[in-house]
Amino acid sequence: MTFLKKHQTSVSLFVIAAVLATFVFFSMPREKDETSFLRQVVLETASPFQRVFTAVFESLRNTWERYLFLVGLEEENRMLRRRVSLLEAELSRSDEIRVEHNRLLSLLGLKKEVSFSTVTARVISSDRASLFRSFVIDRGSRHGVSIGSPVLSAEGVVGKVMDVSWNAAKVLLINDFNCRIDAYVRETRARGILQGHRKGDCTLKYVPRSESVREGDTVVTSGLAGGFPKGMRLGTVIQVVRGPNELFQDVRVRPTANIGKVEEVLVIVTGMESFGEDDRQ
Amino acid sequence: MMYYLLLPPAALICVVLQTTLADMLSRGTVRLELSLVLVLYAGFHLGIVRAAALVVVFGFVMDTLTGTVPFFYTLFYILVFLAARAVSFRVYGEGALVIMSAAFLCVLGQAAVIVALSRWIAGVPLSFDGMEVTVYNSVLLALTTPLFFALFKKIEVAAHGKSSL
Repeated sequence: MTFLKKHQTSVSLFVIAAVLATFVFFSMPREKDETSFLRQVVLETASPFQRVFTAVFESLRNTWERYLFLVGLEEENRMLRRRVSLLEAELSRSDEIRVEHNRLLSLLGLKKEVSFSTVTARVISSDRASLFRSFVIDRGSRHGVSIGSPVLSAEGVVGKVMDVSWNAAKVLLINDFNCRIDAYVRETRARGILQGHRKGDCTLKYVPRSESVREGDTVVTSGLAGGFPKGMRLGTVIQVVRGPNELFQDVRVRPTANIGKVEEVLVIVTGMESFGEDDRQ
Repeated sequence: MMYYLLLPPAALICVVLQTTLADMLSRGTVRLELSLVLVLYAGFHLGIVRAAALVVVFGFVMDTLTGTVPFFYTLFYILVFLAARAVSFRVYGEGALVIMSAAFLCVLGQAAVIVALSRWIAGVPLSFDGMEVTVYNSVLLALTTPLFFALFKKIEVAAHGKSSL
């Protein structure tokens, strides 16, 4: 006991190191694109609690908003917003197809139509006040979701899956500094890497100074890396700064999707043999 | 033994509740990191082995459910715990001012580490844009920490019949 008291700091360091080493050992994935078993267990165990808490708090909030303040109006507003989002997404896709069509016509090429399998997922937990940007959805590997699966909303890209358990997955949002997506500016075809920034915005990095990028331009996925389909709307350019001695320009992008208010998302999946047909789109 | 068996589910429920409740009630404007208060409490009051287990379990659950940088919360909580332990040898860890200052500095320190990490890992320019929320959160956590400490002490007394103080 005297020894323990005398060397308390060293002993605490040793104990923490031992506990930590054990945790690290069991929480490291065996394969590169795999979530460790321990993480899967935590994600899986947490998801029912997240569902229940979210449902309870949401129903309380909805009751308050619906019956005490805006009976009817709120429902109509929600329906119209949903419709506007769908039409915007459709318009965006049409624009992209038109631009691409004109470009390909000059090359006498043909655009090959690509279709994707998607599953609908519900956001069951998010921590919007955190400096890390992520949320948890109620679909996992059992539904075909895997690490790196793109996550979309009606307005555009929301993020990609970073951890997955059997029935839940953690999504890394596009405005997190850890998220990088290959992208280009639709109007000028200037390419770069879209990366999260603070204040909920993103930065399009590595765009050469010589490229013409203007405020209001649309940034879309390039489809070259990360499993994202080509032409999905990522955001709108809100600021362009060209430093006098810089090789690249600083392009600030605001995500198209209202990430803070997303409730349902689409996840692009592969290998869905075990999943029911009714949820495929 | 019961403590170690109950720790993982308690950590899970605590982390889920703190994120869901804060997000729903404040619509993403305020964050009350109860797990950080618990780590501080462990640093000031709990025995080494119990505290170490609590710190690692809470850090790991936070990393799995909300973190995007691997092991960030686990390592940060360990640093906070060690700092709290070192301070507790020299000052009276029950004083409201001490624990309020500790909580305030921890939230600010956490934000500073994340900003630094975003610079070094991701190459995002070093700036403190949009950090007002962090300042509000640190003030809120500092003001509520003495209440939570009193609550944890009551729980400890109820569970063991005596406080570790």
